[in-house]
Amino acid sequence: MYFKKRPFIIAVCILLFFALLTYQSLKGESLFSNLAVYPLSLIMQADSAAFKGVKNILGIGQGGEERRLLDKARRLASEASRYAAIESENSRLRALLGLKSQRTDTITAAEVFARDPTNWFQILWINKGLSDGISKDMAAVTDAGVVGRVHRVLGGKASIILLTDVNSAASVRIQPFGIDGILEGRGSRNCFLKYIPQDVEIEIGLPVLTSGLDEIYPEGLLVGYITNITKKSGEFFWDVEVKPAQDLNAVEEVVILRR
Amino acid sequence: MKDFILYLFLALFGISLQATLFQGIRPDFMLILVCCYTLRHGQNKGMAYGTLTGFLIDSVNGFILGPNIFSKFITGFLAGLIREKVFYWNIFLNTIVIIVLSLLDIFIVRICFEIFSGFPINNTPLEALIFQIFYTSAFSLIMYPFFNRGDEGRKFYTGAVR
Repeated sequence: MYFKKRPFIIAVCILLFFALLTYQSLKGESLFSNLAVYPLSLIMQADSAAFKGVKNILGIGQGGEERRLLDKARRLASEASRYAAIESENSRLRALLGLKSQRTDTITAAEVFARDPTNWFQILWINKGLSDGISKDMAAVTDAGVVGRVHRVLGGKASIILLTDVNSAASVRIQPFGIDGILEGRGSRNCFLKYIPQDVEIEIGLPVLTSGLDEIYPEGLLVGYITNITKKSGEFFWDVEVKPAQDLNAVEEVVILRR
Repeated sequence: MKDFILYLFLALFGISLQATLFQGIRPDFMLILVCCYTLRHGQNKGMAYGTLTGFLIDSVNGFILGPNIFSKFITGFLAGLIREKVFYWNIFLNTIVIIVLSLLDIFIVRICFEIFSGFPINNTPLEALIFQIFYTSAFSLIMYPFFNRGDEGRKFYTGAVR
């Protein structure tokens, strides 16, 4: 009997993929997702350290007087930029330390070593995990403001979903009026505030703080500032855009807070 | 087998680069690697390699396992078809193929997430996806010499009719 092997295998594979997706969709959770993460996170940590090191490498060469002076100038410039980097890191760590000592609900401080490799999600990987007392849905903050919440926790690593990710939502309050709303991420640089009625007067520049009602983010943490307000005809609520107080593309260290 | 292991390490390294080196918009190194591997080793191995790389990406994302597995499997399948049907390979065709496969990859991933996870992924800014395609095709040009290495690839490169 004539039997085409390849189309059969392809059809079976596609059916298997759909079965896998449907199963997860019905069950509501991912399967076997931690299998590949351990070796990958090790490589990512090594790469991250290597890239940080490369930034400080000096280019030293031999040659005439001009070349020697150029090399010296390059070396001095490199040293100056290294000191600037150290100073910047120092001030960041000092601020984090200040935050850690101010709050009684801190778990640990952690360093960011990688981000999500795709453009679909906004996720950070940190170098602390289960063994450091981190668990799912804990809040991650810096001295500037809220960063996001813990998504996955492995032995010595964890991932954090940023406020701006499409899977992110937080219960927030506009100050000084005390108006509650839901802040959601949409994959762009800013977040969007929902359920703010149009009969309430709000203005650009007002601070947005966590309300604590979602039981993830502790009350009173600075999230960001209102940057845009638009009124859509026929709708009851304002369309409010909020810029996170912490630049989420520049996060290098975070502090994890207890729920 | 040796080549497969090499490409597996390249995939791990590629994902790691995407996660650590780039901030903001990232190119899709996995798509380039799947195309490269399929053009060298044929459709069956290309689909297997695509499935593996998709598994790695989905595992790091940590949401649902499948969208990238499916999209990279289809990438391997289509790159294999191109390998069988097209006799000449040049830089222009290389770019067109990568752009088309990137578009298809984005479309499949988006549809899968929409249907099976319920994430509002359609909010991902369009410009991010356009730049992703642009960066991927730019990096594929850097990788262009590697698309045609190996015995089978060399025949393919010189335009030999099989």
